[in-house]
This record gives sequence, C-alpha cells and structure tokens, in this order.
Amino acid sequence: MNDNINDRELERLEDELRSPLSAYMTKSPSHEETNALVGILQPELNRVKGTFRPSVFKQCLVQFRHFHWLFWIVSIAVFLMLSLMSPGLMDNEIPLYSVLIPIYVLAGIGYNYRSWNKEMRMVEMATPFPPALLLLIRMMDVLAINVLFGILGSGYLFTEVNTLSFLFVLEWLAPSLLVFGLLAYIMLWKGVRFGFTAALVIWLGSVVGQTFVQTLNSERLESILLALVSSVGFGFLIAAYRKAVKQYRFQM
Amino acid sequence: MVTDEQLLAAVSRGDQTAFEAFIHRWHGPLLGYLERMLQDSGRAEDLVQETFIRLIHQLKQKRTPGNARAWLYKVASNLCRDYWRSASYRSEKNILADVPEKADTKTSIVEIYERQETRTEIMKHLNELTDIQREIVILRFYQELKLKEIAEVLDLPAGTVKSRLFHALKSLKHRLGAEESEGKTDERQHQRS
Repeated sequence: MNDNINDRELERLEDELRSPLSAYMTKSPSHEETNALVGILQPELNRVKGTFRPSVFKQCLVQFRHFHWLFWIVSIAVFLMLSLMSPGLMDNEIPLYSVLIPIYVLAGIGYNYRSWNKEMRMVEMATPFPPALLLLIRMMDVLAINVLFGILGSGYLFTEVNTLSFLFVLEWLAPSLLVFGLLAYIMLWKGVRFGFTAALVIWLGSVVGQTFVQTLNSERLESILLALVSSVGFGFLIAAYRKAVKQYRFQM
Repeated sequence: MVTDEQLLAAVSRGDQTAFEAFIHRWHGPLLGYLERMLQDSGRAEDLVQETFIRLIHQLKQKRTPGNARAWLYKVASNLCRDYWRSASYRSEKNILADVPEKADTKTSIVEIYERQETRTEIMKHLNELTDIQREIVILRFYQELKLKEIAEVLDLPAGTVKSRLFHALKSLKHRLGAEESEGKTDERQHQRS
C-alpha cells in the first residue's frame, strides 16, 4: 500500500477534486447554538476553575511575553542612546538618566496601555484576575524592564566614568519609582487620564527638585532625600497593589 | 491572533472568556467534521459536546494538548469509531434501512435541486471509499489538515496517509469522471430523441 507516490501527481489530483468536493457543504452552527453548547459545558469548566489557584508572579511572566517586539526594540535603542550619550554629559546639573528614564517609564506604560491586544485583553480580563490588577501587573512589567535596562546602562557607565558613585543609580531610580507609584495609585482611584496628568506634573517637579538638590552640594543629604522619594514612590505602589487586590476573587 | 494552545493554557487557569473563545472557534469545524463522518447532525452535535467534555477533563488533569487541532480531531475520530461499534448505531442503522426513501416533491427550484444532487453524489462516492480513506479525504479537504497532522490524528505513518489519500482521490476521480461521461451520453441520447 505504501508505494512511491509522486507529490506532484497527488497535488494535481487534489487540485482537480477540490472544486467538485467543495459541493458537499455542511451547516455552520449559529452563534446561539454555540452559546447553548457553552452553557452545557459550563458546569464542566466550573470544576476546572475550582482546582486552579492563580499566582500574581506567574501572571507577571505571562504578561511579559506579550510585549510587542517594537517595544523591546525601541527600549533597547533608547537605553543604548542614553548610555552612549551620558559620558559626555556628566558635567550637567542633572544626569540624562534621571530626566529621561522616568518619562520613558510613563511613555512605555502609555504605549502598552494603548496597544494592549484587544483579543488578549478580552481573554485576560475575564477571570481570575480583575482588570485593575492586570493593568498594574502590566505596568510593573514596564517598570521592571526599564529598571533592568537602567541597571545594565549604569553598569556600562561605571566602566566609562570613573567618578560615578552609587548615588547615580538612586538619581534615576528614585524619580522613576515616584512617578510610577503615583501614576499607579492615582490611576486606580481616579482613572488613566488623571493618573498620567499627575505623573507628568510629578516628573516635572522631580526635574526641578533635583536641580535644587544639586545646588546643596551634599551627597549625604541628596542620598537621604532620594531614599525618601524612593520610599514614597514604593509606598504609593504598595497602596495601588492593595487597591487592585481588593477586587481579587481568590485568596492570595 | 491568540493560538489554540494559548487559549487552552488560559482555560486551564479557569479563564471563562478563553473557554468561550475556544468553543466558538472549534464548534463549527468539529461539527462539520462529525457531520460528514456520521451523516447524522444530531449525533454529530452529541459527539462535539463529548469531545469538548474530554478536553476539559484533560485540562483538569493538567495535561494540556500540545497540538490542540490534532488532539480534537483524534478524539472526535475515536468517538466516531466507538459509536459505529455501539449497539445503538447498529439498531439505528437497521431502522433506517427499513424506512423507504422519500421522493423529493419540491424540485421546482432547479439550482437547489442541482446543489442537493451534487452533494448527494459526493456523499455517495465518499461512502464508497474505505472508512480510513473517507476519513483521510474529509480531514484533508474539509478540515484542511496537513498530511502530518492527519497521520497524528489517525496514528498512522505519514507515508501511509499519503498513499491512502492518493488511492482515494484516484478512485473518486474515476467515479466522478465516469458519472460525468454517463451524464454526457444521456444528454446526447436525449438530444437525438
């Protein structure tokens, strides 16, 4: 039976018979019929739901995989450009990193919010995570990507600029955390537009504030202030997380 | 587009919308396949339901199929075989054999009649093939599976699937060709008379 079949001859036969065989049509089920089937199968699915314990960490990893490739390319390009330009601009009052990373975090969140795949959002939002927690998880992924690239870039800058201290990392991390924490917190309480507006105002405030701190010429004072700003940002993030978790249907 | 496997991963996490999206995606293709296999729409609907129930049980046991498409057709195909072996099928077949064929009295709309006629002819020719040949042809032409996937569904080597498809198509072509030439001869005789 398993004789040598000529691929081309098989293809030709398939092409010849495609048209006559297509006459054998069957009825497609209507939307209502499929919904009725879903209803019949629902008790079976409910049993699967009962055995599942969701994990926020796993959801973070799942969301991580859904970032568009364009976002990765642009992020790598931005951090590459920042890292290559920074050594020549270290004499400026504020490092390029502390001005641009917080605003890039905001831009990244904005882009991901707008480009969130509709189909996947529909899938993700249903259960078991509430939309607020999903949004926060996705935002945290954006922050994590920026922090990761920031640390890699800082590592490169440490090898290029001898005078650089750990304070440099705090100078971009603190405003990024503050802007992010505030955005997350306000977004969950007052909505996306309000959150972005507040975060932009805070970003401008952080630029002005850092210029002022630089005039104090005290690394110790600057470290304390930046640590404080980081804590406030982190505090906002925790508050936002708690708010999002309140809608969580399952026990953590 | 979200793949079947992504949807199933979400379903196994208890995701309601992924579940509904998956059922909406696969209800039609599975029903079409089973209807052609069984030529009984009511029974086909029952087996579609049974296929999905088996899938949910599979997910419950944390065994998400690697290739959802092949898995679904494989289960549906096995259910068909189980049904053909069952006593209920044999008794239904005997009952149906006793029922006289109804003459179609509403053939005034030529187009519908011709379409129905062709459909019946195709069904007749497909039924003349061996069970496995018919299944391969249905999976290939109506479900658009690749030969490798058909081999996976039927647990056969890809070479065997290819060979059986080839012989099935040759046989179909011969039957359809013979019918066409018979039709032409009839037409010529009709014109002469």
